[in-house]
Amino acid sequence: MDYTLETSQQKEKLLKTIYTLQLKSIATFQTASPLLSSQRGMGMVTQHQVHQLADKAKSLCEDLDNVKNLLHYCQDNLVQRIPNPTGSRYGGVSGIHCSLDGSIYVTAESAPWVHVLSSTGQTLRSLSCRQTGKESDTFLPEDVTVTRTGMVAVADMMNGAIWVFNPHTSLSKGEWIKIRKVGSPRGIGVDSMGKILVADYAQGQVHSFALDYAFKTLNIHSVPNLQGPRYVSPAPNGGFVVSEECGDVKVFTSSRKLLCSLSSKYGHRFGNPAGVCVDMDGSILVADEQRRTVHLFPERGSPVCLVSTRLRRPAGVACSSFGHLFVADAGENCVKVFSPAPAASRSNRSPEAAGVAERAVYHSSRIAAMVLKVFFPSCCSSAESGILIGRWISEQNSAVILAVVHFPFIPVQVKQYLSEVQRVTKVSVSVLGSWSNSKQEKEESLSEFLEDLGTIFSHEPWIQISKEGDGKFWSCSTLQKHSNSPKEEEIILVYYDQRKVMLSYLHPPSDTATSTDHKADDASELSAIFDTVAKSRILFMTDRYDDGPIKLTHWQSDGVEASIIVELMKQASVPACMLLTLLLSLISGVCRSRVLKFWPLSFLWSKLSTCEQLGHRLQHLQVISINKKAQNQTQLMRKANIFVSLLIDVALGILLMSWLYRKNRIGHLADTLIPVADHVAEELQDLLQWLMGAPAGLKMNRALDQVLGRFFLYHIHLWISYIHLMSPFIEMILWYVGLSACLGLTVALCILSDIIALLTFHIYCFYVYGARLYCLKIYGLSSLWRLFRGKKWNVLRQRVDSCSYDLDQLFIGTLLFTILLFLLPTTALYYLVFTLLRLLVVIVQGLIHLLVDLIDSLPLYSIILWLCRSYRLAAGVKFRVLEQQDGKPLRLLMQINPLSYGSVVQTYRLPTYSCYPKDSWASLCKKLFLGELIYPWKHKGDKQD
Amino acid sequence: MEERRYRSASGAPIALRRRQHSASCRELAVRCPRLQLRSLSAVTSAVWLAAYGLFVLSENSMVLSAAIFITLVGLIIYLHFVKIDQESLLVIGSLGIQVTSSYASGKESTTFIEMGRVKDVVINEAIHMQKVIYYLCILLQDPADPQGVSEVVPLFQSSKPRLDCLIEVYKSCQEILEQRKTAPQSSGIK
Repeated sequence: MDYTLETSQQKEKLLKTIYTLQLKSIATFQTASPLLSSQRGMGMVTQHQVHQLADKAKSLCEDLDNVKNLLHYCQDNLVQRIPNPTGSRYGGVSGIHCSLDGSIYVTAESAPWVHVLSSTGQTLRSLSCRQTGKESDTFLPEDVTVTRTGMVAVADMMNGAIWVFNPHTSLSKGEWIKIRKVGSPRGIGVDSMGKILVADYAQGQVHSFALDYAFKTLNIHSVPNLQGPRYVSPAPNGGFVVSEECGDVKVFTSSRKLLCSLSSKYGHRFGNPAGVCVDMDGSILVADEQRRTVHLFPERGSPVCLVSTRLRRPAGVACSSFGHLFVADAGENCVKVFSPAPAASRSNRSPEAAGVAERAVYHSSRIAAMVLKVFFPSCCSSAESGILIGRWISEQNSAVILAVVHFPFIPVQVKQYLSEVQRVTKVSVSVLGSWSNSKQEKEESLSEFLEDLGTIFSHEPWIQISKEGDGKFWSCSTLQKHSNSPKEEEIILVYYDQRKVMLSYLHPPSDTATSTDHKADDASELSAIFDTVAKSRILFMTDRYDDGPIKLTHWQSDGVEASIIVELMKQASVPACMLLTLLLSLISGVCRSRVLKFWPLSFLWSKLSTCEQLGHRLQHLQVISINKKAQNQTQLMRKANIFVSLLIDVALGILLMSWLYRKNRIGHLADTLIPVADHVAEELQDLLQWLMGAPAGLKMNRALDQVLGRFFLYHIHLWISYIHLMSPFIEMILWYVGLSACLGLTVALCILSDIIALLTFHIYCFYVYGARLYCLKIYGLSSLWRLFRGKKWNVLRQRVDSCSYDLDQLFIGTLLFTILLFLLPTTALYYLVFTLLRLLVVIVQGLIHLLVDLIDSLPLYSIILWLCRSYRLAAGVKFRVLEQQDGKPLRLLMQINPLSYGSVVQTYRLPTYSCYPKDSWASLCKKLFLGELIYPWKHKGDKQD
Repeated sequence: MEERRYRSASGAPIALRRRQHSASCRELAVRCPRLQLRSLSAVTSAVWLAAYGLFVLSENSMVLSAAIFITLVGLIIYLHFVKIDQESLLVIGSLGIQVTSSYASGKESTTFIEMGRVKDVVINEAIHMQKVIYYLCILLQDPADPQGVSEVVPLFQSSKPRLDCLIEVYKSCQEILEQRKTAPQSSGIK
């Protein structure tokens, strides 16, 4: 009772003193600062008095720091004793390392083992220090550490080497790799940049070097002039701390300059400093082997003796991130766990604990359901514990997680990295929450630590996802610090395949113009997610072996072998494009020259479909050769489609050419062409002879029949003589024309269509004559029919008016009408026959053009994508409900719904130069009946003359 | 999970299965009657008998192989493109509605409609083959006009359940859609 009373009186006194100091200093400051700023001189205050005051204040500050430190830490607070897992067969424990997830790595003197312990002291793994392949070749680790990539590194003084345990080898157990020979390594550590630090005892040096993914050492630096360095430990500012045998402890900066030695800075005398480590606050802890103590050297204030008794021969020390101190006691052959600052940590966490309690209350009373959606990349499900980074979409109350940052990291560096990513990608990436993947049972301290992270990276709400063991069901909770409304959020976990979502392109494309018109929240949720993942592509570019300041888990591409070829092609494409552009501008300049614009030539160009096709392909080449990068997906796809279509077209054309030019097929073709033309002409002659008689038993007007027949026969005669005149050259013409097939199959097909048109020119002529005659008669008959009915066509008013005719007019009209009516069947018959022939040719030409259009317009690249990588063209998403467990969040799997074939073709169809005839069947029939000319194909912008 | 039996508009027995995944996630599946062996064998034998008759008349064995080919191709097309085994509706509050129809061959065609586009789910009536039937449909919001309806997506088109079954589905959907409507209001009051 007295003791309590006495303590409480002391407490009261201490608080009172500090309070008085605070009051006095504030009051003095408030009076002094206006007086000092208004007065000219110093008043009556002497220089001596100022100096004295400054000195006293300095010592007072030191005293306060000491009081603070002494209150904060407590001495000899032994929590646990972990016996040496090797047993007593070998020497006592010497090296110890504590990783950020709380596991402890221990080595013992002259024992070929590295033991991995959990923070509670259970042995998780034992790594035998034996080189694979050589059973006898063991080595004895002196000190141990863990690299940034999570691999165990040891210093082997016997062989003078540094070994790294690589768990990812083809051998299932992993193997030790000797990475470097060092004179006589004693202590080992990894600094905050990920470099390995080695204390070389005999040479008196500390080496630092980085490791690349192939276990090669890079950037080797050494710090010389040390007196027997034993243990080395990284400092949080990037430097390191070294203990010298029977000497001093020295602190170095990140540029390997000596900052200070502890004995000179703190005026402390060491016996034989052994293990050193630096805790989370930046204080240095040193074990003294001779004096059997552990001292803490805070940044401000005098050193504090944390452990004064119960140690026999302390060797290595290590601090965990949860405030525990591990001391390897070689004398007692055990690891002693001290908790030097239990009181302080409790006071820090008290508001947090209250929050937990409050949350428990919310759990019991569910009030409003606001669903929180967490989009989690499935590739991160096996990631180690860390923090989640991603984008928070507040309108939809959903979080898109992009990557997991592992321990260890430095919060400032993470923030820097994120701001850099944000600047590049224009996506507001931030730290969203914590992720814990504990293989073992849940550790209370870890979860508290994760909650504490929420105060460093403030985000609202703070999402906590934890996976236990290999469980499928993760627990997920949110922390809302600033909202007082008691509401329980339901959480939906949506897994997505990061790679597919990144590469896929959502259809229909959301136009940027429309999205700016509407508000941002109007944009659909899915497109926001797809957009976020696609934009943060730069985040995924970092390599697996990249030893950057922070370590991320996210989707990473596996195939990097071909990247050199791709890069080379990219480099080569620029000059190729430039050359192509130059050539194209030359060709199009020639085409546009005035010589070719004169009447007969321009008319001819417009009639030849080959020219149209060539012009179309020229436009395509111009589109491809544009040097600029495609602005959006639609343009990119269009370019790729055109490119593939051109390639395939040319390939088919060359195939056709190789077929044509083998075995003199051109000659055979030319030889058969003339007889065929002759045969057609003969058939036509026979047809005309038949028409000139009494075709199908019809009685025609004999005179007219004969006239027309002779006229057409003369035409055929002309045509045949023309063909025969041409016959010696036909083979040569065909040979040269066939060469044009190398420009593409479509060009070859167009030439074929043109050749057909030229060879059936006589049919066209017959058709035109017949149609004109027939048309004339129909018009004459219709106007005379109006005359009969006492009407006439009023040209001015464009209508039929009534009109009174004279008797003479009526008489002449009747005569003419009769004559025309009786002559009509003969003309109609000729017209009918030649129209049918013409239609046959038109149909053949139409089919060829249909084929050309098909090749031109088919988006082949999109179709290949649709076949092989169907997720690239997404119509949307589909969700699959995964297994559920009560109390755990709903789990959904988001898959990509590929676009259907029809919509792929519809979306990416390339425009063609020709369009289908606009007139319907009825109007076609009407045209045929009235004798108006019909054409196979109407060209765009080409006025019918 | 619970299953109830109903009848379709044409009188065939159908089963409605309700599955509650969580408070805001519900799956409703209507299973159509499976392909009957009787009808399958009837159609096949009819085609083959006709082919055999032709073969007797024409004495050309091509007819028989053509009949086998036609039957096989027809069956594949029927199973893959025509016959729907199950139509399901997955309503996830605040995320959207997913309509899936699974064909007899195992092919699934899925459409996902985001909650932002869904205006309402209603029961409508239509004239189908000289009788009036009821059907459930999703009304999609017109992005330009908040009051207007841009599109109507009919549900359970192949099974065509009767009104009693539709009411059951309708109530389930509305329960979740109600949550969506109350949630913004509560936050607004706060």
